[in-house]
Amino acid sequence: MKPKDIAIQPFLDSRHGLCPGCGSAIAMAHIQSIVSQPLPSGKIKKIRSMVIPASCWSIGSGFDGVSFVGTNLTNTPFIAGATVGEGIGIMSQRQGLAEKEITIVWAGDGASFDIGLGLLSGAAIRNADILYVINDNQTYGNTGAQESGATPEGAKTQTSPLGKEIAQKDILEIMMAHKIPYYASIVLSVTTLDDFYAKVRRAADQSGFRCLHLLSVCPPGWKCDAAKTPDLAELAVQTRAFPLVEVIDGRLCLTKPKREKPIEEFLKHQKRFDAIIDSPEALHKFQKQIDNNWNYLLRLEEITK
Amino acid sequence: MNSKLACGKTILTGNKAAAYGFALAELDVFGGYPITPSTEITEEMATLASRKIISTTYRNTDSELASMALGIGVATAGGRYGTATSSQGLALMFELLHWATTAELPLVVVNTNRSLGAPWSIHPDQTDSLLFRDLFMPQIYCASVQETLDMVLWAYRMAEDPRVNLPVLVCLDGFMLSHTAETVIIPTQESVRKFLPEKRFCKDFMLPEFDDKKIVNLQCPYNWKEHSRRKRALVLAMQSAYSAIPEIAGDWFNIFRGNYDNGFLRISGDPNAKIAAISMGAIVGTIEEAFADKPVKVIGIRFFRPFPAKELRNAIGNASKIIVIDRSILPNGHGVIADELRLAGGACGYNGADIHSFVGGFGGQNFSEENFLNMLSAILSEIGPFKKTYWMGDAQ
Repeated sequence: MKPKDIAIQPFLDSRHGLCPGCGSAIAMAHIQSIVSQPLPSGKIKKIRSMVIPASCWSIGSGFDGVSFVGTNLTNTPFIAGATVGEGIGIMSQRQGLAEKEITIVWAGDGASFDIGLGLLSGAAIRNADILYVINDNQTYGNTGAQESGATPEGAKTQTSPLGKEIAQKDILEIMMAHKIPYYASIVLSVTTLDDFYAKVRRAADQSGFRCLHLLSVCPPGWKCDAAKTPDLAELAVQTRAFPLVEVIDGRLCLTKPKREKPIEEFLKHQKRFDAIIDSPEALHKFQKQIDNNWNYLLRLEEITK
Repeated sequence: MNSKLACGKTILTGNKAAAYGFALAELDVFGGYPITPSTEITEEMATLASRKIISTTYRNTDSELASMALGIGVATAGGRYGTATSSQGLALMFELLHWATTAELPLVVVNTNRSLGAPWSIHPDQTDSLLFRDLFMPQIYCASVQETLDMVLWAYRMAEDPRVNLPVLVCLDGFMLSHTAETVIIPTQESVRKFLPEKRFCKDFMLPEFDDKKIVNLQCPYNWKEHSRRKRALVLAMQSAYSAIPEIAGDWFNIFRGNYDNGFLRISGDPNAKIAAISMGAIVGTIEEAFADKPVKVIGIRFFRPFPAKELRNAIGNASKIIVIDRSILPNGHGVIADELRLAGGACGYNGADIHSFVGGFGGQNFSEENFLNMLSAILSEIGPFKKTYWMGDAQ
């Protein structure tokens, strides 16, 4: 089944409260549409609930008991998403509905890299039967773009006005260390559509702990043009700022971009990186880190073959 | 289900009895995380589940916070959940415990009472659970091992009462009860099912069932009117919990012949005595023994939340002196029970009886019958009313 065969369902009500150009809003509509279609094995799964720890989606996905995303929503405190999802997943198993239902936890990078990391680790190592989506916009979006563990080094945020001084956490390696059955990083853009759809379908089809690391363009946080969202998503992949990987049972597979571009092509559209763009030295250092990480992933792909 | 679970007369510690209560409640899921002195409850549940003596899904969680998050998930999906903890663990749960109460999710937490640090201590007092007295969460305090087993079952009955729908906290004193072995009768699974039927589906607070086309958005933002409505509903739920207690006690008596009177209190001694001693938890038994041949009636509080003000007024009756023994302390210098009584006194009319407040039991301070007798003679030799708080040990 190709992307063109999956009609985007009207999952996202126009009353939703996400920002213009929000990358995660389009991704939500696509992921829900993909999951609700017959999966590669022929299974059809009903979304039992989307579990939403504190994030933009807490206020954006509904009001007064009404869900704007077309499926059940369970809102939780910031720290608790993964384990609340696990509890719902266990009940699906006990009710004999594990093959017919899917619980999706839709958590931000703050909830996953930082405050909820402990509980995420617990749910992952217990192989909780959930699809855990890290909706990563590289910042605490709902509070107005503060530094998170996912913020790239050097990027400016409201709490790192001169640029982040510490490294970005490597969530791929954190999740790989948990030996989960499925992990993939995904980006929604024109040239990555096939990759996106294939990974979401595989993740939804399986059972156990599946993690999708979704890069979500965030115009207010990234200080970029809201009309550029799909282009920036694509550039993140083409510049290798956000490598597309898939890890199945510990074997890492890297999706190489067809056209590679230098990092400034991605950075120059975002004011949060203006200090890096303005400094040839900083830009060179940034590019070097990107290259190092890419080479590391190439070696990891080789080792885990 | 659970057909292999032992029943009948045996000897158990308080912790084991709590585990048997959980086992007989036929939980869907138990989340376990070790902490002294509650650990054996968790160990026993892990053993019973992994040996398939019970069909509960057991999970070793990664913290008490995760135990409570798991409970929120299970209860949201309509399952019956339990967990056990103590002190620091209960404190770590706070954010999610508050969430579970205000989300009106029935589940049960057993707290084996232990001092809440600092300083570091594993000794029992009641400062941990009483810190949670402002939550919309019924709190039960056990005075014996049998009571511990029974109260876990009561807690599920109350939690899942459609008028209540709240988490319930069952407390037993660390070591004094958790590690003390007593004779216990484990009821049969069949009789427990009569008392505690299968969990009812409560559509207001749970995800719709599989075939239901309805779509919900649980715990999303609401307008202020709905917030007010929900706060009021919580008050009503606590009031309903109050009226449910005698019903539960009545049903318990009819099925098991176990007599907890109307459920709220444990009362012994001369009903016309002019002195009433009030306390809570495992030391109630010691106080009863100390005052067995003294003109004192001893009142043990079983349900601290909802606070049994009316029942206490009746139990105190014509007593002119009230001794309160607290194992907790508040910033205003009062023990928690004494504070509640002083607060409720106006509305409930304790006939102007003097409240003599004793606090202690911290850091492993042990109470013997002699301590209580010394306390009594100190009170009898003084003339009230007393506004101050005596620290146990000072009065000897």
